[in-house]
Amino acid sequence: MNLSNDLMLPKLRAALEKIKSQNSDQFYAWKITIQHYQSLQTLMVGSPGLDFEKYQNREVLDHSYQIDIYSRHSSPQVMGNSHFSIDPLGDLEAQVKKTFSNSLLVGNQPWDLPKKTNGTYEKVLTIDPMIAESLSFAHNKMHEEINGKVKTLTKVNVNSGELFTNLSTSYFETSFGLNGQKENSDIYLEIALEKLPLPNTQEVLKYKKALSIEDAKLSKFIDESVEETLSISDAEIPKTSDKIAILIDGESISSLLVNTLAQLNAQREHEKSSFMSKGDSLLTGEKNKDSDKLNVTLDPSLPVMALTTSFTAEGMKPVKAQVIKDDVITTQLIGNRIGQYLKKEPNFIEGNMVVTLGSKSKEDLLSSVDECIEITSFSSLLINPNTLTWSSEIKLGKLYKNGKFQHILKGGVVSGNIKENFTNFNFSHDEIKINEVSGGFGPSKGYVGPNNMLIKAGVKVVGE
Amino acid sequence: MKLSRTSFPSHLKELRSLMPELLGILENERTNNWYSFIWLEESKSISCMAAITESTSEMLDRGMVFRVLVDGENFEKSTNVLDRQSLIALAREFRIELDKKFPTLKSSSYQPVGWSSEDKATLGKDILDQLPNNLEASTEVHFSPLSEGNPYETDITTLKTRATSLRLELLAKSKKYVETTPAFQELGDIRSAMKQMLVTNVFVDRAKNISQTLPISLSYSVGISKTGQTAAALTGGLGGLEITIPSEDEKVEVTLRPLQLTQAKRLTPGRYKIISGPDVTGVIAHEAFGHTQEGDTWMKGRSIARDLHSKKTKVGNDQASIVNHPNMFSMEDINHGTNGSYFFDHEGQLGRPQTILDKGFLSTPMTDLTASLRLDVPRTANGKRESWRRPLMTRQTNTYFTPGDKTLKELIGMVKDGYLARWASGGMEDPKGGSLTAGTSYLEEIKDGKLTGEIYLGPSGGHVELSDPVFTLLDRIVAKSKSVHKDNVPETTFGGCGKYHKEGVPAGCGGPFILWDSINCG
Repeated sequence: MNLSNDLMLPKLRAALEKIKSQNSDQFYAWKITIQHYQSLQTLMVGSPGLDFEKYQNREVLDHSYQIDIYSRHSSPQVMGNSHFSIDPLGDLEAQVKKTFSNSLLVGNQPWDLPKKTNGTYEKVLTIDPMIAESLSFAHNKMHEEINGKVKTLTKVNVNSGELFTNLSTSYFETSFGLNGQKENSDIYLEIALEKLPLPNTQEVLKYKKALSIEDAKLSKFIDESVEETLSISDAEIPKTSDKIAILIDGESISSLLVNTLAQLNAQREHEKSSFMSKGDSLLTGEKNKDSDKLNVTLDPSLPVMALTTSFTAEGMKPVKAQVIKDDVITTQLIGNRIGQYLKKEPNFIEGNMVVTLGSKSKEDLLSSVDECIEITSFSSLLINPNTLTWSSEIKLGKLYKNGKFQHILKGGVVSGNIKENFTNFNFSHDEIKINEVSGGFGPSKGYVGPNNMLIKAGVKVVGE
Repeated sequence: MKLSRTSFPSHLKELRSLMPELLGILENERTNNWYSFIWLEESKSISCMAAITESTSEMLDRGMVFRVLVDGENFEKSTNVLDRQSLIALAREFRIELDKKFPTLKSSSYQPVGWSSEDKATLGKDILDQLPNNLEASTEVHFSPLSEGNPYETDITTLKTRATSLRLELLAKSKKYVETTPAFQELGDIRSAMKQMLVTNVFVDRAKNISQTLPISLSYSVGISKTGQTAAALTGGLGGLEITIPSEDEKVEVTLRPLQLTQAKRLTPGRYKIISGPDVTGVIAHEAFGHTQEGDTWMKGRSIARDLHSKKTKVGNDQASIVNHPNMFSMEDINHGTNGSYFFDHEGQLGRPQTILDKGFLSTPMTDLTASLRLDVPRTANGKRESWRRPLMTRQTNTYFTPGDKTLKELIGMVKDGYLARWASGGMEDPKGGSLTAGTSYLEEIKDGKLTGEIYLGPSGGHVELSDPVFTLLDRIVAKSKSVHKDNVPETTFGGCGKYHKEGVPAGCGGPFILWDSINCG
């Protein structure tokens, strides 16, 4: 799909240029964004030994237009900007006029919009060809695979499932001549399982998010979820402790790092929030000699990953770079606008997180400490990007002593401080790829890195 | 000022008039085989931010859903390409697909409830007042809450002026605290946002043609310290700009509290006596037996409540009563509802309050149409979706604990050693395992029946999680504060909810101040 051929685009462009020419002393620039989104959604309910019954089948078509207008006005001069979603059934000129008028209410420090890019956009792979070819074929194929697995399960029941297959295309162009288009496919599968025989009071809820069918590996995902469900036995509440080690999985590691890296965004410095800049240590407290060190690179070009892109939100070419080396910040993430505000050279660094692996297996990590709680699932891991603290109830955990499983844990609250956590930790050597396309409550994320992290500092548990 | 109701927006009249025709295409000659409805939703919002980085935006999201229920399975097509030609083509294509898939059917379809069969005795005054006489299936009925002025006339200039003025006032106020207390450092910023959203829904099936316009207005300010401590206040709900004026207490929260939090002590993890304010009480209600009482969760075998209800197991003490109230348009001493209120749900079911936990005993669940049919339990007005893009599920509207008979002062007087938790910070449930966690931004210390002025952050310097098995918690309600509302509806706050981790919908949460004998805090 080529959205630069959209029939509405020349009309929008003409309306913007007309209002711009009528207000040439204040109308600085415009940007048009077109989005096209298709989604197939199936909700299922399961009974032992039967087909995974579909009870809701949805087909979504979303085609939308948005504009941004930038103005320069007042004395001393300030810059206004306003965002507007276009009603395609309404009067285009009236909507453009309204947006321009709204922009005049805003008085930000002026900045220059980019008139050329910092290089040619690179071709990146962000779409599964099978999904692009036929959304319904790909969706039905995945549903058949899921159903084929679920109805043969005898030791667990899959209570419910949700399968979403999405395909989106977005296009932008600016009055300064920048333009680009990108396409994304993504898959979301959620299943809730419990051990047979029924009834019981423990459930495993697992999610699989991927950009391609190949990466989703749905059958393997179901097998692993079943294995986890079968491992559950009677649970105990954890004991209160302020010196406990915990083991978390790649999903949680990536969430901690997304919030940590948010502090590298130079916009936070401009807006006087807490931030970190070049040369800052990530740590609070003394580094333990047995700890690994954190190394993170951002890469916008990895194939079929959530943060792979040809261009940034400002229309610039994204740049790959190491941002944390041995626990020290090597650079902030600086875009065009903020670079001008802070008088720092923009670097356009963004992309998927690539984290250096550790040297031990998960089993070695568990046996390297006297006592450890493996957090199988948090109820809701809330991470504060301002204070870099986190907490959650333990939805399901496993207690290990010297690497030997003791019993299942459930309940209690675990909390921590990321800057303390990184003073004493170890990563596993097995790699996992995690993709989260925005749509839930967290930001998009792409992560390639260790599948386990043993945290030996800065964690507190309250239970019995 | 005189209060009035918002009339149906004229720009949607043409689309509304097309909806019966689209319904006909979907189900003519097959009404014995399947049940269809058409759903139109429009959300128009204007917003602005006054901060170091300012912004304004106007957003429009308008989409339509075609729903057909056949043989217990729902099929939907939804789109925002809303010109007449495209919609008729989509409806015809959908009908051809359904006829092909279901050429004959043995089972008969669900038949919707017409106006003559509605139990009007259980509908609230706000609904009854707006029902015209001689109602027929094709009668266009419109609902909206009372508000000052016409929310469609609010302009973004007014919002921006108010936000800028509020921010300047708050910055000046905070600066005074810094000047008088040497330990405080100036805040990094105070951000003030104003937003008004006008949501219009139209539901058309073979029995009803109903619409509602819900004006939602809010003011939100957050104070941010340079070390990352924040404190926020949100004022608003269902109504016009008149309901967005922050109170003095809320201004203090934004200006002084983030400064105090930079000096706050850290809580020693453990069990404590806690008094929860309406905000935190509401999250506990929502998480405790709110999610657990959602019909689709029952239907999927994912809730312990179904078994507990059938066995008539008592799951809390006599003070444990929770209500879900869709058509709530006033509360406590406040003459408006929250963003969780509506007149009918997203399947056209008219709102009625339901006690989902009555003195420790569970009722049948809240339902959407599918859950109600599959579970064979009464239907309630809880079928909601995040937007036309997303699937419909059983969701809560406004969930609150019922009030008690004490004042807040009396409750504090009953605590020798404990904390007051007033500001919620997230929450999560486990409907199958029966546990919950509710966050609070910080705790205020109570010693010997008095607030000491000391505040505490969580053990790791973040917010505090309150967490316990639900049964244990609900058995530990000691006392509750009373309400002055004529129908005993306590304060309910503006809020939102994700089912597990997605599908965000508006959801009011509230209740009285509640004294809990002991809660695990960490």
